[in-house]
Amino acid sequence: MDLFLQQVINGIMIGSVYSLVALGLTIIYGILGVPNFAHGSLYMLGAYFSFLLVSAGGVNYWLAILISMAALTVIGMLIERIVFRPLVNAPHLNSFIAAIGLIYVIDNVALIVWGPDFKRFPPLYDQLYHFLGVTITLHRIIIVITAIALIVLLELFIKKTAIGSAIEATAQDRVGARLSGINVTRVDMWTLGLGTSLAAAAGALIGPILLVYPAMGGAVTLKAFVIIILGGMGSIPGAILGGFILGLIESLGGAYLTSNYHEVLAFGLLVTVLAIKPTGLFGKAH
Amino acid sequence: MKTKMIILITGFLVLLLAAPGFASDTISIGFTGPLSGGAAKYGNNNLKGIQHAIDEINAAGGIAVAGKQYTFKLTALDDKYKPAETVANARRLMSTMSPKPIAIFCPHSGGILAMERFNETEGFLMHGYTDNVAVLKQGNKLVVKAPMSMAFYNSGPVDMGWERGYRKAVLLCGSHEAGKMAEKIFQFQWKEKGGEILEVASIDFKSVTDFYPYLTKALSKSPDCIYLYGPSEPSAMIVSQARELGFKGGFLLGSQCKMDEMAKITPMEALNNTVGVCPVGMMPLPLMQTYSASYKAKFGADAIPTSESAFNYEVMYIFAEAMKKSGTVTDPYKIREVIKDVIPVGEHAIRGMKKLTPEGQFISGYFAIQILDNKFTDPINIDPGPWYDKYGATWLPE
Amino acid sequence: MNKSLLRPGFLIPAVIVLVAVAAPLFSENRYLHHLMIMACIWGIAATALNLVMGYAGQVNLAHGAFFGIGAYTSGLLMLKLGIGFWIALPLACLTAALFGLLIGMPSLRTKGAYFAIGTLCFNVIVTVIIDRWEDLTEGQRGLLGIPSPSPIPLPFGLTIHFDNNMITTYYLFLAMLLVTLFITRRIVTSLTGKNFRAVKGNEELAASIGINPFRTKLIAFVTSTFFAGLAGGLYASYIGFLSPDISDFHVTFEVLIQVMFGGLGTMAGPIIGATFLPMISETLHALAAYRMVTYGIMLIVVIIFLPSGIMGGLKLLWAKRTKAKS
Repeated sequence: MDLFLQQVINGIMIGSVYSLVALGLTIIYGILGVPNFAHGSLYMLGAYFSFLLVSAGGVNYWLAILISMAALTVIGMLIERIVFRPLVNAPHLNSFIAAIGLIYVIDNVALIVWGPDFKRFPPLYDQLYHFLGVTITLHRIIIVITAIALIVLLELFIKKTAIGSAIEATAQDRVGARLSGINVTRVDMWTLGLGTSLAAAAGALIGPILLVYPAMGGAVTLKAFVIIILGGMGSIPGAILGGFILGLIESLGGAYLTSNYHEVLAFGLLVTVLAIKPTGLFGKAH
Repeated sequence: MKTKMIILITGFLVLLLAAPGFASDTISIGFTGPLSGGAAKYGNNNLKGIQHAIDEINAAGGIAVAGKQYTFKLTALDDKYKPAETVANARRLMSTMSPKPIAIFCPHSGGILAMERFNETEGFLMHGYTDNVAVLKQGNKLVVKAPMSMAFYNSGPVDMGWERGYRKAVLLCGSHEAGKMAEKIFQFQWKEKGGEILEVASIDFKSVTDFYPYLTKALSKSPDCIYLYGPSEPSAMIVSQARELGFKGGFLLGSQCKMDEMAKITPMEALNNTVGVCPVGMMPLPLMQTYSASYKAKFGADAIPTSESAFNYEVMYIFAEAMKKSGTVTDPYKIREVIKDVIPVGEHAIRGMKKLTPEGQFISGYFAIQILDNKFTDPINIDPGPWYDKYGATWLPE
Repeated sequence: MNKSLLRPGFLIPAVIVLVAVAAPLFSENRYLHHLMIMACIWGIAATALNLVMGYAGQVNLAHGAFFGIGAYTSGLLMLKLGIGFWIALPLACLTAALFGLLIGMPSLRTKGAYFAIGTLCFNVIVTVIIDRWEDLTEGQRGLLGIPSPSPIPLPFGLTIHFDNNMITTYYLFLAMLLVTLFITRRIVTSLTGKNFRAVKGNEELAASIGINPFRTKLIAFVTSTFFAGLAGGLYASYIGFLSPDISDFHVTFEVLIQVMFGGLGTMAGPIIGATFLPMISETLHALAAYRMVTYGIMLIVVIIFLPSGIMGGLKLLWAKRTKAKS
């Protein structure tokens, strides 16, 4: 086994998932200015929905991913309507507190409905491939390819569709967008739906190689925030690159730097970057 | 119509208020442990054991103490694994339950240690479900603990792994308190045998998403066995992923890894060459088989009895027997004093707790078991006697 | 201006202090005493966070780390070096403030969300270091048996004991809370406090009238961490057991919620939050599994309908009443 190459592959796999999660978070922040700490809980819901569809409903895995993305789009829009819209003129800190409240609600509803047990997907794409001293399962390859495809699709969606350009215009200049006739409130709602569906996709994609349980979102939320700060708040390329950087730092850093302080690597990296460039890698200067 | 409703509601309220008056005298039992968050399952397993015993006792009409009949009432509070909330819960139980609880069960050492500060003056017994011996080292007179020292549970799998010819080990343990302790104990035991430790990695199960990076590094050192300590399901995932990455060696499991729960997550082929502690439901003891059946009857056919539920079940019976024998339901010191005389508690001694050390450690054995050729081998009895004669109740490697 | 002793600005705090002082005398209930002691500890922590966040406008999400540093410093000094409580406690505050300086210097260069998440990262790092530096902190095993505050000798051979005495402990902690409030109030009403608000309002503008924004923010930050350390030190000697979780970012979130619930940027808000939020959470125990769901919904509802917390709501009510009168 080639340690270095295997760790690079490991890092790219987890990095693609981080990118998806962070991407959803960063467009939400870019449009609404909401630090949505409940993003990880929505990722958890995405994993649960697809798990239930596949294991109990016998639904095809890819269809299950689409259904969970659609369901989470609706849930995201509802959250915008019920929770974040009333706070649109309040300080961001208020949305932050509301997001923490959402974590309590979503995680504990999941606990009540599905119980505290860990769930595992039935075997899906377990085939193993070996090359250049590296081992990888088919599902991991699928995760990376699908994640990248989704990132490209998102880019196309933003550039090519009417809703997408409205989102882009609002991200650049909210007041200007409103003056030019864009319904900013509707953009907010679409954005939360879109961002949440990306979290759902991430959860549904990685679900089969992990365990699904109510508290699983906690592990990705903090990292997603680290990524979007690292890349610069609201920056889409920043979030994509940041996700892969974090994945690689974690796997390679864990292998070569420290095994005892493995989980602080992400946070240490961010603190270092901020000390050098206070607005992140791709962030606009104030 | 309206008056009828009012009469009905009033009648219901009167009944509700009067209800305690009809019941026989009660004895309060408290529980404080994690019932939400990542450790919710663990807390609930503990709680189920206590609840199970109390329901059985009450269904049989309760217990007679000094000529009076009593039933038990259990109140459980969530402390999210936080010592400060454990303290709040204990204070709350002592102040609001009527009568005051005579015993409080808690499944984490932080909470137990925090309660040890006042349980003697407040006057309640504690059962600490933990294999951390620190809770016995503070000289508290009202604490007992059923799980044996982790070093004892490790000793069986360590011996068997050694006999299988494993020499080079890597450790992948949780970074939680028990995981850190398991790390120390296993290293000591393995080195004492002359084994080699190639790599020690602690994994924070709350924040780690994928085990590949850890396994890639560990396997690059070519170990012949991996020691695991952590919740069953994530440990099972580690086994699966290690096999994916081509690991052919064996797994030595710490006591937190329950092999029957792992088998629900990971196929038996992947679990081959695994050595661990025999799950309680598979212990070849008639009493345990009866318990296992009644557990499934109560909590559903899918429910797996765990050592959390089994130990707490038996301790609850021990407390009840000790109250009968001491003739008091209010003096915890007297109850504590006679515990050693009431064990084993007959047909309820499912884990076979026979002895209580002066510090408050119940002595019981366990079985070690392996998975070979896609199935469980016969369990092997591990007698606590010789081990405890050598090390005592509170031994920890330095 | 109304200078009478009956003006609400004086009357309400006076009544609250009176109630706080008298309360334990009317009840033997240890559970209540426990909640009151914890309210003092959280009250100090929340007041400290409010200083940097409510007055100087810096959302410091490393507050739990400083609470933990204070707790561990006093715990370690007492346990490992045998230093008495009355020396260990101020040292805990100073250590927390020192770390506040070290962490504040790099992180205060960033602004807004960058500062918030940057400090949150520091919080995680501090927790992991406390967790892993086992030779010093005992790691996950935790620090056991931290002593209660040492007795205070009085004239005529009397002493005040705190060991296993919740009433005296409560009065000691209440006194600490009042001192914290007094000092905070002095800072907020001083010139420095005016600078805080100027920097919070607009840094560039503040700089243009000769205020050094960085220095001002650093003063607020370090002072805040000093009192976070105080709260941590008191916690350590009251609970007697510490594990790395006590410095966790969840502690930060808890205190932050208390401040926002009570009312950001007000003197009474943090105290209200620190007193009533834990009590609400305790009351919700009756709902068992639905407890945290209800708690979450309540947070969302309160933050939507009372965006400035309880104090903001009270102020609105008050304004309406006076308007109706005139």
